[in-house]
Amino acid sequence: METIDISFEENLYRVPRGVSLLDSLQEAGAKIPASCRAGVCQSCLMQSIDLAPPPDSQKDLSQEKKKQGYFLACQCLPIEPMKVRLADEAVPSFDAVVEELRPLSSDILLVRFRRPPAFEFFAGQYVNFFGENELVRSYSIASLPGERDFFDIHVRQIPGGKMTGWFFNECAPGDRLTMTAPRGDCCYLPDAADPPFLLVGIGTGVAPLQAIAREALKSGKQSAVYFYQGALNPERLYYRQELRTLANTCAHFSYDEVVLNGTSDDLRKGHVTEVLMQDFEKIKNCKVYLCGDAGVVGTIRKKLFLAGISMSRIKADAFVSAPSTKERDANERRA
Amino acid sequence: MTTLFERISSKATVDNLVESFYRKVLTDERISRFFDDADMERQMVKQKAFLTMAFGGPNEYTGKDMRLGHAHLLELGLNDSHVDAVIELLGKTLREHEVAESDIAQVAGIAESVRNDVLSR
Repeated sequence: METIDISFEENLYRVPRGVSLLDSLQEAGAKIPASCRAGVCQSCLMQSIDLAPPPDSQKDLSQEKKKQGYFLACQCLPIEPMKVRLADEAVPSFDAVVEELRPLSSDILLVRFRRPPAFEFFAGQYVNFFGENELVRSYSIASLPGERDFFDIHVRQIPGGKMTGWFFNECAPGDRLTMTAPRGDCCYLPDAADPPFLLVGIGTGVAPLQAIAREALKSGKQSAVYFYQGALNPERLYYRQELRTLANTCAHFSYDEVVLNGTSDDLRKGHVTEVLMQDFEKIKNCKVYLCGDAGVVGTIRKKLFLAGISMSRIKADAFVSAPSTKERDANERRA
Repeated sequence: MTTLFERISSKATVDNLVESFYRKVLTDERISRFFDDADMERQMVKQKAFLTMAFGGPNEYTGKDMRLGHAHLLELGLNDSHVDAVIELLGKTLREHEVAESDIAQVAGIAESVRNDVLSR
């Protein structure tokens, strides 16, 4: 019988041709989550690390997932050797050395790392950093794929936050951290860009979004980019000077600062969701990127979807803070 | 001779039908709370799996999947009236896309066939 070599979780599997990868791996005892086995439920989502997977196994996935080699194991009939992993597996893949720490506001710190060789990403993606005691935390990349020497993250101080505490109190240039390969599909793909763009950032959700904005503007296609930043009060609109500068120098970039409390002539007052609904005519044909606090992002996504924007045009990265009392918890998404 | 699935997907893509159905479900006060999942993308994938099955499309769902998938909702009070509402909204969605009444009845029949599994009976 003709077989194909598949490497998965440090094991080598010889799988028969013409049988789905899901069936073969499960038959051989590997644990792969699965449900419909018909290419619909996406439970068996996996990622090919080296080669592009067979096109049939990627049929219903988003452009962003296809580009990153994700595929459905139940629809994958391997034709050549592959190296694969489960979609949500977090493996340390890179070492990052801290180069510089710079405060962006009273509670947000820019951390700049030397960019490791072969560390490739799309604007808007994130990485998971590994700390002590199996601590894993996610941070969005705030710099651009074309900035080859360094990459940045924005860290917000969270009371009792284990990794944020380390960044604020102990971290120094020269420190080394391990991290995963870049991940996430709330990102900007240069060849599948679909303007105009609506970017809505809450808190450090601005970090990946300003990168997406700069990347989109850099393409030179003059596509409109509408950037909304939402915050409790004007003091929490971090990074606003940089965004205002961008708005002043670039005619097709618009920047709306939205605050719940406090007034000023150049700010819009209210919940960012309400403001978006007021502007709906302007934004209704946009490809949408939402980043920041999970509650707010969820509310906006639902509103925009119900107002008629297709879910396939809404990308969201919802940040969740891990409760500081638990040792090993779900990932703290920046916050 | 066309299949039910072919007849429905000639009227609209399954993705479009899912979006239209999901918008109804999220705004229906009888059942919206059961669909109030933070992960809407994930939720849509599940909707698509369900609609594909109800349209007679490719699937290998088993009664066990249906039971496991809805067990946590029983604790929130899921009952026959909610299944009725889902089947009603499914029909409404198809009607809006000009699917024939006889096909809508067939879809309702397939959805009906999983009622007991969904309600763990």
